[in-house]
Amino acid sequence: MMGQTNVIGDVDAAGRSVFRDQNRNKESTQFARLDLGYSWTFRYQSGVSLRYQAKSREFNGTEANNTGWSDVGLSHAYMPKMFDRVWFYQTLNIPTATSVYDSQSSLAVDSQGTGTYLTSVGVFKIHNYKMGDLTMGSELHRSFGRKFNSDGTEIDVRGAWGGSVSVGAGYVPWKSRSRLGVNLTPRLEGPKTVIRGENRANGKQSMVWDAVINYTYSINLEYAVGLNYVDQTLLGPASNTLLNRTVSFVFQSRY
Amino acid sequence: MIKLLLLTLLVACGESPLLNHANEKFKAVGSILNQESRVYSFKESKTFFILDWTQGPQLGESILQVKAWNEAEGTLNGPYQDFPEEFSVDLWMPDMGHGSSPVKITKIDQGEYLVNKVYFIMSGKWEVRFKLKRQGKVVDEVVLNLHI
Repeated sequence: MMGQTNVIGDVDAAGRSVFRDQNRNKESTQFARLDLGYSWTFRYQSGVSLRYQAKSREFNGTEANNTGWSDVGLSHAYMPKMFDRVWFYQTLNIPTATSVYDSQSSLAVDSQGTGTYLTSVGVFKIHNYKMGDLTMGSELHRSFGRKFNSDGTEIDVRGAWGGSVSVGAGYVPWKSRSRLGVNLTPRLEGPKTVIRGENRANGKQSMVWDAVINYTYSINLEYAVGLNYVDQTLLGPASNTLLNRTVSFVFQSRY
Repeated sequence: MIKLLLLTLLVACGESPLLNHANEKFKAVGSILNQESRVYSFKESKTFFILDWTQGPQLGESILQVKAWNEAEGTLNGPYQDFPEEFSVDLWMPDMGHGSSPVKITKIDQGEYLVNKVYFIMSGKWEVRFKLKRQGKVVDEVVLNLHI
């Protein structure tokens, strides 16, 4: 997958949205992500996700850029016999990249990762109809505490809970090889406590809605290509978050 | 399922950021929330300092000048003396749980410091934390609350 994310705005803890002046305050990330999966059996698969990205920021006359690897993602999923097309999965984020907690560069463009270990458990169901499909899923995640040292001050980032639900629909027109899909995913991140030296900051919870449109074209049984558009500005309520728009191109192959 | 999707869409559109947002304006000056005067004190080391924002505080880069004096020897108008410990400044967004990039502190004269590369990288509540450190450990701290 290759794509670009642009930050469109910021939402404060009270839910007030401010869209950025794109002439003076630009923030974008171009990324290439490689997802490798292996099916050990028909019902069990595991995978690893690697992401390389270039972040750039222009801010009121100052520019900064950085490229680097993001965190590493691991996952595995199981489809039990008793449920039809229902996958139960678990993921693990390994914080291999610099994060906002130990950033050293101007405008924090070197924060390519999340900074903390994070694991999630979830369930995902696909229901096929004649010309289309419905998908739904939910996941619960937990980030784990981690300590950083920034300019002589210890930063103790405590763990936090979060979760999301997802509903979507797909349509295959004229029995073709194309699929058009839409998906909605509200995401909630619980409040995160960060202790800096003697000072304790209790962060606020954040919420954002992913509205997704995608198009997939199956070249044959082994290859498919697709386009995704994710917009976080369309739906709310949103709070204490950035609002992004992402366009990405996907190439899938199966061996 | 489709009814649920439509109901979710209907509810979610009501608070759409796209339909309910303000546009960013680069203000010359943000509001300083806890400023009773321009004079601050490090209580443990009995050192006072005065702040002059030569640029900002604002979205983007702000610059400030700090002049320090000892309670026993100086006044607001001088003579100024160096801080007795290592002086540092950092920025923090308490609601978001993160800060900004490191600032640059340059000593420009006896007891006078220029702090630049003070980047408020987004709108919201900020804390500017002035610290005195001894062997890397914070021994005195003053927090200035801002809304940018």
